[in-house]
Amino acid sequence: MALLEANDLEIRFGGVKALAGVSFRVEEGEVFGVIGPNGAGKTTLLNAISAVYKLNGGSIRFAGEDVTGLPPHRLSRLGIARTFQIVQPFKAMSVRENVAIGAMFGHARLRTRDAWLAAADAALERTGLAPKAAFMPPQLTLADRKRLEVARALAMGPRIILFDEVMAGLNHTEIERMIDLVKSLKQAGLTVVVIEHVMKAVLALCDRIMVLNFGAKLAEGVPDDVVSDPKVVEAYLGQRFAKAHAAAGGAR
Amino acid sequence: MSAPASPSGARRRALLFWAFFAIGTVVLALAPLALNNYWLRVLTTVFMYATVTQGLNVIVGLTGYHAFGNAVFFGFGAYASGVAMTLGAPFPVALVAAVAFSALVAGIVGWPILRLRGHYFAIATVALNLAAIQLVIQVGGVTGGAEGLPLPLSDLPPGPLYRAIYLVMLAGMVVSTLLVAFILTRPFGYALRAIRDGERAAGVMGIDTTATKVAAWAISAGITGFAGGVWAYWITFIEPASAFDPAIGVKAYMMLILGGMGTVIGPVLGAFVLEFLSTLVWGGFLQAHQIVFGVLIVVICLVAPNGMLVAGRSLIQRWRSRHGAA
Ligand SMILES: Nc1ncnc2c1ncn2[C@@H]1O[C@H](COP(=O)(O)OP(=O)(O)OP(=O)(O)O)[C@@H](O)[C@H]1O
Ligand SMILES: [Mg+2]
Repeated sequence: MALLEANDLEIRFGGVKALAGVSFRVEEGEVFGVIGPNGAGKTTLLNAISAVYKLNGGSIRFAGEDVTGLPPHRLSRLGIARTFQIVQPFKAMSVRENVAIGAMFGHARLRTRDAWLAAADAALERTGLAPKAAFMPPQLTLADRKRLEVARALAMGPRIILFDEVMAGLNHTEIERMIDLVKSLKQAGLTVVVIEHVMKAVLALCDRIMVLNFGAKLAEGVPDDVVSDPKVVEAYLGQRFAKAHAAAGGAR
Repeated sequence: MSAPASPSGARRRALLFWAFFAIGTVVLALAPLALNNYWLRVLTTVFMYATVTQGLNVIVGLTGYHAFGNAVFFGFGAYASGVAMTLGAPFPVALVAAVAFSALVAGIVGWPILRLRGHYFAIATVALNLAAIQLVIQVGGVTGGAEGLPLPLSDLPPGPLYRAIYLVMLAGMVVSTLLVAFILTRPFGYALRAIRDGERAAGVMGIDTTATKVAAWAISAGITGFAGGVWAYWITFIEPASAFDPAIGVKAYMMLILGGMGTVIGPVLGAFVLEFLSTLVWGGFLQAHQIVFGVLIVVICLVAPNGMLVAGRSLIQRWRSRHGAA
């Protein structure tokens, strides 16, 4: 059974359709990639799923239930967590408090202060932020702010976690660490959706990929098929990527 | 960058703070034994504004929602208590009515308008203040309408009565301050601060933002209504223009900015400093006090935009680093 199922999602801004009827399914336990050019509607898709934007059309099912129209906080307690492409830390709270908020309000079961802090500390440990638990967000580097986004989502104890470009702006080593983190989440049984421009990460992580272009689905499938699809090469990846990828004999 | 404060240091500072707070409360509670009527009135006014400012702090300082017209609940509290007493309720019951009615109005009105983000809410609260004046005038009858509403006179002689009102206002200031401190330690307080710093993130992290904002505004309104309720009994005659005077809200805003938004003690400090200043200015510049006051506002915003606590701290830090004694 698909854990997350989106049918015909539509989001309009004025006359512009940022999402023009997008459907897809994410199976339990898989890493599902969403790629596409700037302005394709990837972030809008995340906002639609997490109810940050109201749908103009379409429906969403999560774990077999219709969740269309539920407010964000209800979705989060059902087990949907996300990060923000433009990081949004609570800047007047310490890193640890930021993460504890996720456990306090987004976790379906934790009830005590000790349990919230334990969940926060576990998420900090996992993301490598533990040494900076007492820092204030403005003191963090970009890479650490991205980690903070991830830690906050993890502390919610989600069933699915939606990452919006958590690798953007990170250097080589930092990207490797983030890839390892996502792999460990998958190993722990989490379902993951990654929106990402860093193709190396997409290829290393994703079981399946969906390509968005102008608010519509351009292609979907296993990574090797998708990246060699001429439509995708033309709209997004470019010839150079296709040649390099073919020369390398695929990513795996 | 400053190193994160050690937990034990923070605990010591908190203990020191509450010790001062307790001593200050006791001293102020005993002060009427020594004060003359003039200073009794000045301090009662300070407590009243500190309470109104603490109410404002809950929605503006903690939650980040600017409520320019928040003093509307001062008026609602005054009228709720005035009407209750006219109908024969004793003063304590009238105060409960003032708090409950104000909170109720915020709860009902807040549900639609707190869905609006940012400026719309601020404007809507101003509109509410203007509408309230018209409402009281139109309803007439038991509210006294445009004529105003005289409250039943107390059985107490003036001396004990004013001392009693002083103590009730003091209680309002102390209890509302304790309430804010308590809220800040609870998940509810974390939810408010999360909404203030990033409402969208707060929502997707599981905070029911609308319900939380409405609850915050109802608490804010209840605190403000309490001050209005006591005030009505104090001055014994209320009319729409004085109970819903927008100047009350403006002054509370200045006190909040001066004292420091979102802090526990800021509203109290702001009320003391500004009300004393304004009393001095009032005496010294009877003609020009509006102008002097206006200039004062501008100076505060320029010199201490984050409140005098922050301004003072950074001044001390600068002084220390210049003198090499870090
Ligand atoms: N709040 C909004 N109001 C108006 N238009 C919006 C809004 N959010 C997104 N859009 C528009 O919708 C389209 C899709 O934007 P979106 O942010 O989803 O793209 P994206 O695929 O995430 O791009 P990127 O890779 O640059 O992050 C763009 O044309 C964008 O300008
Ligand atoms: Mg985006």
